[in-house]
Amino acid sequence: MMRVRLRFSKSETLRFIGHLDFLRVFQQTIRRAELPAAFSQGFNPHLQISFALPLPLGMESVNDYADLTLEKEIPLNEITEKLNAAAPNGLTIKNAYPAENKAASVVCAADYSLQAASNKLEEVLQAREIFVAKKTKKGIRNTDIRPDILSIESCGDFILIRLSAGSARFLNPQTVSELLLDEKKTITRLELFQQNENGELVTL
Amino acid sequence: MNSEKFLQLDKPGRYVGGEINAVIGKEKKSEGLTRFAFCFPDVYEIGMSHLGLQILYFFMNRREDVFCERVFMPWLDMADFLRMEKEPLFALESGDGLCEFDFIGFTLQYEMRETNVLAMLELAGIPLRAAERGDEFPVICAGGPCATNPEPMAEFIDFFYIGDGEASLDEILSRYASHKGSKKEFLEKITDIAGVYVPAFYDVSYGEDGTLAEFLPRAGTNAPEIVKRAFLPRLEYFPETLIAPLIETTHARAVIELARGCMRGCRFCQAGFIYRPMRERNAGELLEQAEKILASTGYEEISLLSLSACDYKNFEELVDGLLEICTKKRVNISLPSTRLDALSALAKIQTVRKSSLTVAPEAGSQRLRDSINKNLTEEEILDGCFRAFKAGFDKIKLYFMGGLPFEEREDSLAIAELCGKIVDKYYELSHEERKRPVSVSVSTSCFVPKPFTPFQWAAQATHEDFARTQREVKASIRKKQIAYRYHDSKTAQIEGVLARGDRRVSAAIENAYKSGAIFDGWTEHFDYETWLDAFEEAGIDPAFYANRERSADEKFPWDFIDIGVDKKFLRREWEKSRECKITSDCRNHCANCGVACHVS
Repeated sequence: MMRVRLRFSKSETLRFIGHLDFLRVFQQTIRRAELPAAFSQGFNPHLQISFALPLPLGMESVNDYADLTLEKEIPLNEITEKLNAAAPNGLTIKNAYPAENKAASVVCAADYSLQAASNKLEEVLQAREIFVAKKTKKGIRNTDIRPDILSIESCGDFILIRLSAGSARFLNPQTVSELLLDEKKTITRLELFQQNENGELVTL
Repeated sequence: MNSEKFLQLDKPGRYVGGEINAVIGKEKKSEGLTRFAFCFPDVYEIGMSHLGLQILYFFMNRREDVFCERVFMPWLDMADFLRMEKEPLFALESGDGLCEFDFIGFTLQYEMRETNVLAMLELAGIPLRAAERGDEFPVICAGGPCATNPEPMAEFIDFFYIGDGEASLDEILSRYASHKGSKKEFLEKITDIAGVYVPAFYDVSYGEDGTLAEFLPRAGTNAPEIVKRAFLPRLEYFPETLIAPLIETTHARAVIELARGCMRGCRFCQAGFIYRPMRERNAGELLEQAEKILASTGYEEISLLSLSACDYKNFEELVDGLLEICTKKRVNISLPSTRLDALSALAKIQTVRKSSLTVAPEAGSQRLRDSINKNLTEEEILDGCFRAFKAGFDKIKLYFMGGLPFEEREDSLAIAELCGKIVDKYYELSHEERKRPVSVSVSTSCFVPKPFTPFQWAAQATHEDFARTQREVKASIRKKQIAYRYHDSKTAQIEGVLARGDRRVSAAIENAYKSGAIFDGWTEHFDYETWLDAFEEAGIDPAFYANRERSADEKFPWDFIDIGVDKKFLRREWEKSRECKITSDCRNHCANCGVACHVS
């Protein structure tokens, strides 16, 4: 058995398909690449792949991550090459490396870019708390999102935002975009992070 | 067009193309190319599940001089969006509007999609009626099973293509490539090709009783009196790959076509007559195709397509071969329609995946099953179900038809009785074998008589007839393991008119479309009143087309088409149906249907 992490980007046409469709597209790509993928047990065996964090429909992702289990060891560059040869336009596997943990359980932050300028950056950063109405299972609740805004900076024509992202805490970049901008702008997800032993954010 | 805006639409993945194995526009787009827009008049998810589309797509694209692209009926939000943006309906590969094409070809698989054909033309900025279209517009053609009675759509289509697509399409495309001159001259040039019917070249007159009097080629045209179907004696071409959609479709799976045509001759089934004789593909080639398609698509399921898969001559050999491929690749095998008499092969398939078993006895009583020539005895049904239960199935779906010709009250009661016996069969299993309670789901559809079947003379059941059958079935089901569902009969009434309509029905289809009829095959969009008004406005009595039994000597609007089977044979079958006499399958005994099937 071999657990590999795939770093990939999702763009172009694939922006128009949602997470579940993308999962299927990815599984079919693995099948076309004829990788020795491991399957789950049971009546309806499924190829074992899991994504670090679902990407909403319409959003491009520059560095995204998925963990794949293979039945036997094969060279990492072979995995990348075979997958890229089989991938649809818009999916590029950047590299593959041994997965030491489960991407979905360790991911805790994400970087996004907004193609826009805003004069409200300081205002948001200065605020000690920002309450917004957030839909939860129990209905709409006012929640303080300030702790989940890790950083915001202006960078040329872009605004870069780092937010909590993962199963424990998650802040929708759209919410922040609405605080900063009056109109809807394209959001791109740039990178996903985990915490290392020293509590620093490092890429998955 | 800025596709960014598609993100506001429901399922934008329907409109962006870019699927695996789709032919990429840029490579093929060059001067001197014949451009064909293959239009499926329903949403992407349904159209992409249709194998015929994929076969013809790759068949045409195998030619260097043709670029075939796909177009689907946009969902309502997209249709509004196109109107608002003043953008034409476009093809997925190039994104070009339909007016940029040489041909626009519709596949007519179901009568209730005909208003969608009009919607697609209008969204493309193309006048609906053939007579209103000049040479600046593409040639509009249509094929598929509903083209075997092309008349209700005659006013909208430049030429119909009747029969196997692979048989004459090459000839039509080649003649187009070398054609210089007007559209009318082109249409005149192709009338001698098998399967081609140009409605504008024919004059129709009606008798005082409203039935067809004369149907003749117009003087000065060289259109034939009888249009022969395009026929492929041997199935050879099959694509080495299929387009694998990025979004979930109705049937997202690999498909191989075992055979075209059927040897059974069930009297209600149009496909069983218009695709005669049964033509089988070679098992070795099928296995090769299966491997190639699975490898190039990455699908996790493969389906065996045929009107009656288990009639395939080397079925066991094929299934064994497929099992070997599929077990290795962890691919499931599914059979769309199953005859119970081939359950042993089925049992093997179930080693890959267990699901529910679907059986279509079509009629409840043996008498009515004999009348429709569904050669299936009660013993076979019960025995088959028992074997399926033994093999571990605990869900059985049963399909019946309501409103069959010669149906009596006893036949409806027999449905409940048969289902009850099936439930009892389950309890013949030992206690250990019964892991879960059995579930039998029963449904009745509403029978619609179709052209080129023995029932083309029949009066379709009325609403009252259908409702009575449904009541009787419902009231007679007593066991809690049986769940009963039935289809609405209103759609079936309209379908009945469109199926056996003549050229005058075109006006009603246009009226209905202009009054908002669209996606009529979708229960939530179908509006019966709109159609009734449309018929009235066109001066048409729907009962004349749907609910009238035809006399033996009536001339039908589709009689000018030579579909292969003889009208005399169909009439003999109609008489036998009345007498509840069965006709054996082709392999067993030739019924002299008129199809020259000795072609080897």
